[in-house]
Amino acid sequence: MIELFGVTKKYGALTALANVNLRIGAGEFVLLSGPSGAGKTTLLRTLFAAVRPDEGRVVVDGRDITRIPRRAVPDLRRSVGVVFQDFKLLAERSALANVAIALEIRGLPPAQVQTRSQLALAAVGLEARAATRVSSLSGGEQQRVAIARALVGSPALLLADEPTGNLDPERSHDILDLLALEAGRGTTIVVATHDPMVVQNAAAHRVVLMDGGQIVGTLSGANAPVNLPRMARPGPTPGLLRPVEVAT
Amino acid sequence: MSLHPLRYWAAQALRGIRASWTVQLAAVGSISVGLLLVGLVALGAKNLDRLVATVGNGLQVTAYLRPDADHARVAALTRMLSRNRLVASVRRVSPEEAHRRLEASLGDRPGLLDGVEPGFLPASLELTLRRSEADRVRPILALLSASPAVEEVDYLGQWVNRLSSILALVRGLGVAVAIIICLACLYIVVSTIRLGVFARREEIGILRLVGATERYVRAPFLLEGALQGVAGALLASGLLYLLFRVATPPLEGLWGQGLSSARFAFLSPAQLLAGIGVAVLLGLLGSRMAVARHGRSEA
Repeated sequence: MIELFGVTKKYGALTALANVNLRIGAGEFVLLSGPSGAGKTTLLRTLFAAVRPDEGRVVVDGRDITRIPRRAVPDLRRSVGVVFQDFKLLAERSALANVAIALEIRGLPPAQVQTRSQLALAAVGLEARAATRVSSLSGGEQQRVAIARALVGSPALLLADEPTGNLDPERSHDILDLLALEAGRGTTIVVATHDPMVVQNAAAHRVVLMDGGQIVGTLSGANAPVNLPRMARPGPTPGLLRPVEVAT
Repeated sequence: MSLHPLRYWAAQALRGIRASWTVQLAAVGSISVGLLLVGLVALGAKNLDRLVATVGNGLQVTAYLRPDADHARVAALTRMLSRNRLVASVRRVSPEEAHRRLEASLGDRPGLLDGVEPGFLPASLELTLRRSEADRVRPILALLSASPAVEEVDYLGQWVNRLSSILALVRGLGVAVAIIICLACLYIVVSTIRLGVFARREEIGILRLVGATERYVRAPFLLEGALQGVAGALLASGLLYLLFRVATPPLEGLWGQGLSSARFAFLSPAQLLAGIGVAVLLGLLGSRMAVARHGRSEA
């Protein structure tokens, strides 16, 4: 599904990604973990062509997206659901309208847009706030709207940058459950987080540890979630994440 | 293509217009003033054209016959002229027909001919020359002047030529004015749409991030530009018609005392539609330029 070969990205003197090699299989749920400035967000952004690497190749679903023409980028982005760290919502529109955008750009019939958007909002527990302007929602609610917008198009790949950053623990667990459910449906999920709670509780197959723009380790054996009972998802016995390799 | 995006584009365009309605109003007002000037020039050119056609009606030579002109001599002259390759047609106009024409040309003031007998005006020969041979008319004028049956020769060609020159000048000026005004309109559209693009830059960025195509992002702005063009053109057409209705009676009065009884004509529906079409194209082009520039700056 996703392959990075020697990806390097620099912003002036700052190296955001340094020769990153990574492979994520279809249907895999991967956490990118590390401190701020580790390169997690930049790596995520390379996966939907929001950042073009200076060197290396990024292959998503068989396509080298570092070489696709600009006009092909929208097509790629429509196949990816993205939860941005700063949400990227339209503050003066309703929660429903914000979610609906992801379907409207696909040209779906209005009735279908309406129904699916409402379902997506219900999935994040915001059905009662559908008509509320985003600017009137709390940070946590806005984050859930962003998640609903990312999920509404049933993407094959879901990318999330700190998706629980503004949520209380209870809501965070709900969102992690939702992500696990999506993973169970075969959606490939990549989540960037520096939150230890997410690393401990997410139903991730793998945790990729990053620092200084490099992958410094991988925790695996977590293909069954710690919180299995909440997820009702089949898999091996839950266990602690354990380090298995260091990828460079 | 699905029709659903059209609804979105229309809603977005209207949202943009509502959000900056004072700027939009100023833009539409400026465009309409510009197009009004173009319309005035077009209207002037059209009516000058009609005047040339009315007065010139081809290129005419009128030979007024002596009252005592011999019929046989006139007939011979007519035959000779008809055979001349410079002459398209020759027609004898009787004093009665000349009287009727004069009466008709006076329009609603036939009383001016009260007391004038129908046979008062002289008979004449009306020659229509081939347009391409107009500059070689001198031999014919000489022939007519030399004929004992002819009292006076009136050649309207000089008038027609003069009017044609004025018309060509008006047309040239019109084209120059139209180009300058169109460029000004384009600048206005580009500026107002750029303001709209700037105001909605965050939304545009988000749309691009979630996978909207450039066409999807740009279409509302193109629609907005086209609407500006339509609104400007409709307003200009209305103002032009109002001016036409107000200014025509006194101008026709002056006109009637001069060369012709021709009535002024307004632009035809087809000409008005063409004007609106040009305005829409200007709007589309202007907004295309505005969003293209934004696209480059975002690249």
